[in-house]
Amino acid sequence: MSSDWGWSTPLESIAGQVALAGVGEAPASARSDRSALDMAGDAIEAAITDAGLTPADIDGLMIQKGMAGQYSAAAFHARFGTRHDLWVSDAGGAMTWAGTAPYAAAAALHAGTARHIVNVFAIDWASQKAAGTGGPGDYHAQERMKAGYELPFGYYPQPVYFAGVARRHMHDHGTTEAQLGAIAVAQRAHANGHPGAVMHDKPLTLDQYLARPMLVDPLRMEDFCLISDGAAAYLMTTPERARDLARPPVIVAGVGEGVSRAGTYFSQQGDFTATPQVFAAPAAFAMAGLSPADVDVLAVYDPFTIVALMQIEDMGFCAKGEGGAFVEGDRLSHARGRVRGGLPFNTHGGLLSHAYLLGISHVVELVRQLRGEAANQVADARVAAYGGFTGGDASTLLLVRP
Amino acid sequence: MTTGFPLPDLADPGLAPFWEAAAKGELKLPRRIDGAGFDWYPSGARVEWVRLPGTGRLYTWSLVQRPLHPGYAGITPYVAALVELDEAPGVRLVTRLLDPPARLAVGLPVAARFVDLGTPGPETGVIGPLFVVQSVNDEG
Repeated sequence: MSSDWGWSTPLESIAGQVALAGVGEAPASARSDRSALDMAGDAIEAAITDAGLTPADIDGLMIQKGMAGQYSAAAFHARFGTRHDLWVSDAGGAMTWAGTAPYAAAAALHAGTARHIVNVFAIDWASQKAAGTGGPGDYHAQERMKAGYELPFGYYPQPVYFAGVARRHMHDHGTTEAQLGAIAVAQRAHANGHPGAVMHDKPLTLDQYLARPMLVDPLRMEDFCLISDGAAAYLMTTPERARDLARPPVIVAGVGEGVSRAGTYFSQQGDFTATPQVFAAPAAFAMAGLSPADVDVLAVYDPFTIVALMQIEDMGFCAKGEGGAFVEGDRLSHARGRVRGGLPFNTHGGLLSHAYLLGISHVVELVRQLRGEAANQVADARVAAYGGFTGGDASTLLLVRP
Repeated sequence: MTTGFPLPDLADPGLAPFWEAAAKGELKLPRRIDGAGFDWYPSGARVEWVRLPGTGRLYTWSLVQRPLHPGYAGITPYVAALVELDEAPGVRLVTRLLDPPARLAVGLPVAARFVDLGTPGPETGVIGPLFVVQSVNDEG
């Protein structure tokens, strides 16, 4: 397959320029009837406390672009009783941008525009879905060409897109249902070990997975992400300032962003069974001077098992097409670790079994792994990678413990 | 989001030539005047809408067992499919299979049938190209 179906966004190196000095969450759940704004405020407050700072120290706020109900300077001041100037950027949030927010933050920190920047994302889709007011399919249903050429044929929503991708991956590479199931099972085991995971109390074996009915063949419910309420935030500053704060800092070593020419028209993407990680990941590893072999723990945006599998391939953890065999057995378990040939993967349970917080919880989990305080701790984790995905875009964020 | 069967906006100039052709039993797609292939999905490039034979190969499919949109209740279960069209390189046409066989495979020959989009459920009043799998004998 030629590689002209997308590109890597040119980024100047920010290696060593940004520290993640605090993380926080609002509890993830099924329908809660909490507002996204309240949950975002809870996550921000927890991140500030984690870093040992006060709300008055926060002078930068990064939020998700193009989604209703995200945070604002006014919401910050209303909650914390502050009045100071806040630099606000919509280059943050979740999905791809949970990985690239540190890039925009680096420029603001360097220019002195802000000293302590919080990136936050909140979602209340479980409550919205219950109320019939919204959810993950709305963007696609309203997109002009999808409405005109895809929905009239039943090609909607995302499970239909990615069942077709899985089917074609199976045809091209011999990938099996049990191999997709291995991802679901590994992540569920991680959720079972994580008290904050929505599926904490629900075990899943591979036999149980295979006995479940197909929803969109070849995908089962267990191949789909959850729909959740919740929020998470991480606090960024310079490595110099981070050394004086409460927690051991985690340093950004590399960032990469990849773009598909077809955007979110998955049906027309040049390489149908790949993700823009093929453009993002090499750029991030080059910036960091690292390779996939150096990564101790990986967290990838996993709306469906097949999307997790493709990104493992596209980020270079195995050859294209070999992802199915790669994820079998206990390869993805936090307990196995790289030295024994494993790849600890989505160690909080991911979108499949922790919560559907669109990737920002993945970054929070990686920070905890590098601090050595994760629920499913990977032994001696020093290098972590996040794979962000939005369909038409993807990002790789590489984090290290100094 | 509408709860009825999701139908195309036939007044949209980027959509109308396709659906007007379909109503007449023809498959037409926009080919760029500058020779750079088909403009799919329409981007606003200068194009001519050309008639295609309506045949191709099954690229992949999704067998939907439960309606994930309330409007699809009358067609479920169904097979949403991507078809690589003859004489339109680079295009994967989104469609749905009509009377799909139990066993499907990538690469099977398929051909367009112009029927109501709601088939076999309630009529929608809009005709579109669904596809049938051709047996080897039909292949010509």
